[in-house]
Amino acid sequence: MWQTFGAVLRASWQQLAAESAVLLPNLLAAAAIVVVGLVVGFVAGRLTGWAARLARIDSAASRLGILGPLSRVGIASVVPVAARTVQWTIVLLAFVPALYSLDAGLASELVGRALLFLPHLAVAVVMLWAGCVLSRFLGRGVLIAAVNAEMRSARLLSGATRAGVVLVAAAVAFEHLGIGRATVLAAFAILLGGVTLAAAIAVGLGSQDAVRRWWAEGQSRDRHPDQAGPIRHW
Amino acid sequence: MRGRDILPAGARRAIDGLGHADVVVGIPSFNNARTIGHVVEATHAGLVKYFPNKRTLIVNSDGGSTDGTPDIVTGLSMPPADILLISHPLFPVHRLTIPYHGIPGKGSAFRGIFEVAQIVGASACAVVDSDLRSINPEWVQLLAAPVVEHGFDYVAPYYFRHKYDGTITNNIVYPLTRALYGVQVRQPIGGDFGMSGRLAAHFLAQDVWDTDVARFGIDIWMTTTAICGGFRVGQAYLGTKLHDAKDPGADLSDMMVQVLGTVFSLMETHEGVWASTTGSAPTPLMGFRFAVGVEPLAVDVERMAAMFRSGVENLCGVWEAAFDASDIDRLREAACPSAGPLRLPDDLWVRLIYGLACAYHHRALDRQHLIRSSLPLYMGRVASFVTEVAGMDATQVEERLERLCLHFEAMKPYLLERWRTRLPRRVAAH
Repeated sequence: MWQTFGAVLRASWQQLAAESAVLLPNLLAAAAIVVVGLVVGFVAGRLTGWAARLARIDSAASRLGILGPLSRVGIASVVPVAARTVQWTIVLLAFVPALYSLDAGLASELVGRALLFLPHLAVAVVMLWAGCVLSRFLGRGVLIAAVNAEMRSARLLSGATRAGVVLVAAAVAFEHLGIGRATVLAAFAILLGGVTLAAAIAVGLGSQDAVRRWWAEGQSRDRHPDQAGPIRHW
Repeated sequence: MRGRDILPAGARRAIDGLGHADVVVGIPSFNNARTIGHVVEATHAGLVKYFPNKRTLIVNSDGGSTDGTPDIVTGLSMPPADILLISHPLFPVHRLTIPYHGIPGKGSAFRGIFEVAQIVGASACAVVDSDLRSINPEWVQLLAAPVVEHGFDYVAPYYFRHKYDGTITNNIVYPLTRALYGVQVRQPIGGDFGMSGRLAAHFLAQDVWDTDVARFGIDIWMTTTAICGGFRVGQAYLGTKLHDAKDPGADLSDMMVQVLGTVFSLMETHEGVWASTTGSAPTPLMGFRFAVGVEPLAVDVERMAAMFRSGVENLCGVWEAAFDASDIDRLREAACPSAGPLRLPDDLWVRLIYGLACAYHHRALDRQHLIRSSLPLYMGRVASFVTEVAGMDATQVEERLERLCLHFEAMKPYLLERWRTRLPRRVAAH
């Protein structure tokens, strides 16, 4: 029995050693590729950060309306974002040949899927960016109109407009990517319904004063000639 | 839309049937049934009395009134000449109502009137508002006679107004136009003007009728175009100007966009003229000057100051695109309640207006947003101005405005420098 047990152990060890001898170079190659990717990614990230600062990318981002929305989520500068994006893109790209060295079939399938997904991702990013720019424009318009209409909650209205537009853009982008399609749509519908109802109630309550003012102004038009008229600006 | 396209076919046939007219008086209207009868009567009497030997025509250019305005114009029976104590004219005064095509607005209505004046070969044309309560027959003579008899091409009105009246004119349009083009036209956006047939044809030939000129920008556009085109410009003293009370309800923000947008846009068109102009010269004033009683005006200074403070609280991020940081700091100081009554001094006001013009020129911000965001600033200036002149009489107020105009003229180098230097855009929080 002990002889058989020893033979099985030897055979297993020999098989492991044989398979390891086949796999180990691939594994080492994969590890080396990842390490090189990490190093290159780190260096490229640093270089990107330096170049981005030199090119005043933050000014350009603020002009394009990108920095405003980012600052709201705690990102004060685009430079580290660009640096990290380059760094981790290189690291991720390094994983592709590493994966190929381990299992060419699996790697090929994964890369194929990723390549098919990339155009959708790009479109979604553009949608989000357009949403941010539009939200900034509309938010500013609402803010100015609200101040000119002597509304006290001008900033709130402006913020709500921005958030609403960004939310719509995000919902459309997620819908395009096919991520949580039903959940995103349902959440969006519920939120929009809630906001509409709240706005309707707010307008209803708030317009009491406006109607009263309008009525008072209408009365003052038929004023007595001796009474003071409203100021004429032009 | 060019040539006769603005006039419908029916109107063209009616005009062709009239033949020639020497003097045309145009009345733009939209739902002015309450007042237009008086305007037409006064205009008719003025034409009969002062131009008895001329062929004359009253044109009502209507923007689709639903209150019977055009019917009043054509159906009105005029008092006989002997009641008006005037001799019988050689020719009847024709009356015509035309609907116009194109962008709804005062400018499009004027375009229809100019078109008619050109078709009938008029040598003089005058336009008067349809909501006037103070117009009298002399206005027709004062606006048209300088053209017919003295060779003027453009006659701007000169009114006696309440010291709080016409604050956009007093604080922005008059001083800015004067400083830019060196011509002192006191009411550049007055609304009632006289012009030669030659100038009306020049107006018609310009490709501006799809812009804000088609709306309320028309007045300042005509004045500026006449000045920059080298036409002979004069002013006529018309006394006081009283309107129908419905007008002040118009949206001030829209008005500012149309008027200031046109002023700033004209600065781009005529940069070659204003950049080399220094100082200003008086414009001939015709008519007998007399003091008249004016309507009292109610000004809610506190409300205006509150709007200014709200603007400073919320819009500084927007204004950063147009103004220097030091100017915004001064605005913040002025808005501080502990600073006492709101004061926006002349030099700051001039810097703000010039800053707006340059930001408009450099497209530092969406142009509509830029001008609309200036409404709280304007309200602050009006509040400051009203407080300052509260105890002044009309003469003192004019002297005060003269000082403001001199500030505008003196600070023109600042405008030029800013106009020619593209400012770096700053991060706008809003």
